[in-house]
Amino acid sequence: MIEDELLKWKFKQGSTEALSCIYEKYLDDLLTLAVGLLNDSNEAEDVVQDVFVSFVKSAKTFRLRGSLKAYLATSVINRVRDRIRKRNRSLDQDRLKADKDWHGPDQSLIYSEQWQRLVRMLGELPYEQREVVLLRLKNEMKFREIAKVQNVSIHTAMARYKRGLNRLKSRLNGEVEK
Amino acid sequence: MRSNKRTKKTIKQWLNVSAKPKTRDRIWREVLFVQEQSRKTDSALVRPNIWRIIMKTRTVKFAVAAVVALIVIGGLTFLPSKGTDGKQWWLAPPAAWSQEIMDALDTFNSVTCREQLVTVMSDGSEHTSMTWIKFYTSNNSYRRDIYDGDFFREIQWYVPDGGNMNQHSIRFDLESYFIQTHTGSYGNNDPVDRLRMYVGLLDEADGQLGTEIIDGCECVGFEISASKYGSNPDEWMDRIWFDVETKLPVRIEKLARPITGRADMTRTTIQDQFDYDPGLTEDTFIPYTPEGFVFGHPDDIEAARKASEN
Repeated sequence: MIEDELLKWKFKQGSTEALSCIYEKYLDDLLTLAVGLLNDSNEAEDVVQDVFVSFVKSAKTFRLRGSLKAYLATSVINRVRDRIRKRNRSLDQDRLKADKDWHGPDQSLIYSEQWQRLVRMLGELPYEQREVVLLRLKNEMKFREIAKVQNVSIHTAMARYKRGLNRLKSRLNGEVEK
Repeated sequence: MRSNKRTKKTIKQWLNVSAKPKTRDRIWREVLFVQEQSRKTDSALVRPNIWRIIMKTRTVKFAVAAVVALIVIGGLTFLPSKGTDGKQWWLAPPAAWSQEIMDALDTFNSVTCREQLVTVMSDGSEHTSMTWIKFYTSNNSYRRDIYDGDFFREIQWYVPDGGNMNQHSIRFDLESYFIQTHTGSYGNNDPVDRLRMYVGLLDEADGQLGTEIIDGCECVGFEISASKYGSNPDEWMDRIWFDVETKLPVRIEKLARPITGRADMTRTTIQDQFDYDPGLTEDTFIPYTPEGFVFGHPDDIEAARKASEN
């Protein structure tokens, strides 16, 4: 956290080194979040690039008291939502894409071995639950921060997380039993 | 059966995507490029932060607040009256309300807007150009910022010089600058002059287009033939749209102009995103050349680059 504060300060002063550290530190986490939500590596790359480009453009006016990690993750979430709105894709279509259109690893990203299984399971969750699970487990955001991103109460965010996790657990158990 | 703890651990392990070195480099280069561009524009626009200096003392802070309040209260009375009282003001003869708009336009010190070109292909499909322009106008000063998509490519300043206009341009992509003189004024290229021209022609409008939602605002449109302001064919039509609430223009369109050599295609020029009195500083209109930029016409520099590549 102290390291992030220092990076934020140096970044605001125009330090390329600080920007590079932030980029290296958060690029993969942000990509994981974007791919996990969009199920599309090309779109995910565009989203993450947009986030960093906007971040750089905002350097002079950048004022952030909270966590840099949460700020960047929230920026990804906002852009992902924009993209999903643009696609005008319903939840069912989204789920269908996770089930049928996922072609697995591509040329630009490296995935964990079990990624394909996981993304299929995540795709079965309602979008809001998927968002909470990813923000909590991957980006380690606090429920207070997640609630703010989703514009809901902490209890709702926690309930969504619990429901999402339970569904994933039962899917994982189901796969083991088979 | 998995416990919650084990489920979380499993998911965390599986939730791993990383960029391949090529992807990592590609995105980084783009980010770095944007940072570099921001630096170039910032360094040329460095000026003391007067606002911070003012806000350091409490007395001055209150005085500024009072002045701002007066400007806001006073300024609002300059704006045309709102049209939310249920009356459709645009149904009255334009002479009854167009002068009000004209007067409002005169009160603005500066205006910015965006210009885009839309090409209508032979199959009817529309293609919006990647290149778009942001105009800045202020009394007799003009500036055009030209973008290719998100890439900030060029700035052009037009500075009056007697009866002529000096153009100073810088190209970020070519790292070059160029200066030339145009005879005459900026004239019809000034978006605010265009607005005034259309408002002055409303009495002769060829049609009223009803209301539409543009950029989230209810707007009313008018259609005017380009023959009304020049030796143009009658069928060349232009449109101007006004915000129903503020009565201020929000969009102008030069519709379906033929493209030389492409009889099957037409082009529409749209100016929108008007921002009235956006609080521009004088620096906005003062040309500058970033350090290291070379002098030359962009065409010559591009040709020289191509020649050196071959």
